[in-house]
Amino acid sequence: MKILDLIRQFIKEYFIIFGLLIIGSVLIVPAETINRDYILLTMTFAALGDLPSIVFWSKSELTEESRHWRSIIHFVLLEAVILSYAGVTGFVNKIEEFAFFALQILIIYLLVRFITWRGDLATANKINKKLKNFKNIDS
Amino acid sequence: MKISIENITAHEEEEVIIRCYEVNDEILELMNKLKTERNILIGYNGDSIYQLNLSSVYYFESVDNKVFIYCRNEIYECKQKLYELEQICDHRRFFRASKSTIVNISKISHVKPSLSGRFETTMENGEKVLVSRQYVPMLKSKLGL
Repeated sequence: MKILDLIRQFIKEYFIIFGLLIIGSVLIVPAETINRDYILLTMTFAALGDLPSIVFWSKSELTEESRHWRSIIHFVLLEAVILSYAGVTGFVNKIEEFAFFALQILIIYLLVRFITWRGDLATANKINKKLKNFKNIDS
Repeated sequence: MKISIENITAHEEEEVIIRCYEVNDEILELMNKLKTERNILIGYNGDSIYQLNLSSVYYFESVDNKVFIYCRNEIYECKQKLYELEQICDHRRFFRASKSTIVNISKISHVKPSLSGRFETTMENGEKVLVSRQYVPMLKSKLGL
């Protein structure tokens, strides 16, 4: 992947994470807590959560196995970065709060993967339909 | 190398004859250039040299600085670089699927998303080739999507 593609991916994923964090906050956090500082905190969280994506960068083509391992490393890093930041800023204090927050991160991570996969499935269906037409014309 | 042109009558078939004492790399390269203009590639398998039609190619793959031609059941080595093949195949039904592969669209059976975030194409011979996310728009554009 070229560096420009990596930056493009960073920006795209940043907004997905930020959007999902805001949606999650609106559903979970009391309305009076969501102020300018809270949104700034969320923006910082989204940026930090996006940084571990660098583990997917490679000069050569990654094998499926390598991608799966990198996905696991990516998730562990993501959890570590966000939980550390949440601890430092006092966003979570108790062990239960950390556990609940870690669970929230897991849910958001899985949601992003699921939404991406659904989009890819729709794209694959369109491609398959065109491939079928393509072959019908040929035969 | 001496180059001669012989004029022929309109009803005769045009022909290129290479006269050489040995088929060396220079001669093979020259043959490659002439044949790719006519959708023919030169494939190497052991000590044998084969003429391959582009339409019989399933995909090209670059492995450790060597380029291989994958047909239905056979694999041949190719002396051309992947970027050269990309140029040859540019206006044909081929697309760059990843840094290391060029795939013949006509030989794709179907496409599905892979769990790793890429796309997996199943070829007509059952082989699976991965398509990187950044090359999917190229496939879509070749299909008119």
